[in-house]
Amino acid sequence: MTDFERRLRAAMAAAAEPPPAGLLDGIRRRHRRHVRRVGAACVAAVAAVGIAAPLVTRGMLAGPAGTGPAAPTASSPAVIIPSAVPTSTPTAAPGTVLRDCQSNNDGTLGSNWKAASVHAGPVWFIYARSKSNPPSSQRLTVGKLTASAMVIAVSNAHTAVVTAGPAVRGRFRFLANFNSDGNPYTLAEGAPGLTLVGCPAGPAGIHIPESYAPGLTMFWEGYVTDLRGCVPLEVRTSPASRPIRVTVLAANGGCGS
Amino acid sequence: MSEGEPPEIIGWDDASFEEFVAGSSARLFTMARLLTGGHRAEAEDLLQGAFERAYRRWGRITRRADPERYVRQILVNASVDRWRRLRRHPEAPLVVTGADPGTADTAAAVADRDLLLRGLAALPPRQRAVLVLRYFEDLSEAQTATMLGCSVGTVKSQTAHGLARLRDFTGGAGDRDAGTRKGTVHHD
Repeated sequence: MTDFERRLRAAMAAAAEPPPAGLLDGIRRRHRRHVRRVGAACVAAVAAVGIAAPLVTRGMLAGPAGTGPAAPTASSPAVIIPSAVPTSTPTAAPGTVLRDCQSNNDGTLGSNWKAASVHAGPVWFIYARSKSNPPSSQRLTVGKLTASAMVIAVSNAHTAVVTAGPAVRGRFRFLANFNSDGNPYTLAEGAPGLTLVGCPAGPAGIHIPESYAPGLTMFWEGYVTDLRGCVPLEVRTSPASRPIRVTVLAANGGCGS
Repeated sequence: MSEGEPPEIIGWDDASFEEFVAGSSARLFTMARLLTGGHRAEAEDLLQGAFERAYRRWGRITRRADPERYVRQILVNASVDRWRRLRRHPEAPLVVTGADPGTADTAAAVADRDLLLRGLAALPPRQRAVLVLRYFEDLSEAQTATMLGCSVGTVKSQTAHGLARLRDFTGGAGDRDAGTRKGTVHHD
């Protein structure tokens, strides 16, 4: 090895520096994005196949233009049959934001998570009793609030609708999209409820915390509120069912029932 | 899906991966910086992407003897992809200030290293990668060829050309004199 190569090697070795701060957080964010993209691509692919298949089939059955009885004409345009799309595609209840298996968040829970969480039917408001819960959304100026987030889980193969209690419906909103870096939101931007659709039952799916919370689908959900302390929420498992009323912590203090 | 950052109560679901990141990220980050020509933001992005891809296959990777080698391979592949994307970008002049001949030995050594790293950054990305693998990672020519997916002959020629350009850039192997030189740098 020449002197020049030794100098180059020393220069490279001396270039060492500590890794960037927040690297693990960055990897987590990136991984969640990846999982969401893959999920969305799968849904899109299934939908595309569902739409294309009947058209292709119809085209093959019709044969060359003019020879088949069902060949579309200008007066009878081809119709895409919506029923070809899988009927199990989850939909949001009116006025709610949909969270389904494709949008679940990864992560694990501590072994004591149940004791610190609020339970309502198939839904868990994770750590919603705990004082160490992330701080509530904060009032910035008149009408402007910072977003905060809670972790909500639903049992796999279950669907539930979570809404703010009637008394506070105008003062608590779930956000379809948010970031927690202090950007201002208004209550008008959110929706009063969430439709939670758990992943299918069976073995652990993508990033279901199998160790301590088997069979749950978790969501990291943003919200804004100008309430202090506890927030009353309602959980319904079907439109006709009676709501299960719970109170969760949305600000520092003791809460949860 | 919401974009917020998860709270601390939601942890990483594989402690061994966290340990691996903690133990290897400093060296891999330095390698990423060298591969990107010193671009901190690009290096962070490259490293994050490599770790994330590793995490997707973590179960399989941990069964191997050397997970760091696997991540290093991802890093190199990602940097290859990156320079393919950037290949059409024009070169821009880089004004490099050499070491001050009047400074003390330590300062001169620091300046010499700085000059070499600037020169390295000014090399074409593929030559840069070859030099990084050979002199930072201490890989053999054969190992470097395997990692870059090219022949040993290519590694040899790229190493020779890279070193020659670097010598030229820095004013020769024994030349540590002062002055302002002009080189080129790729927009990374």
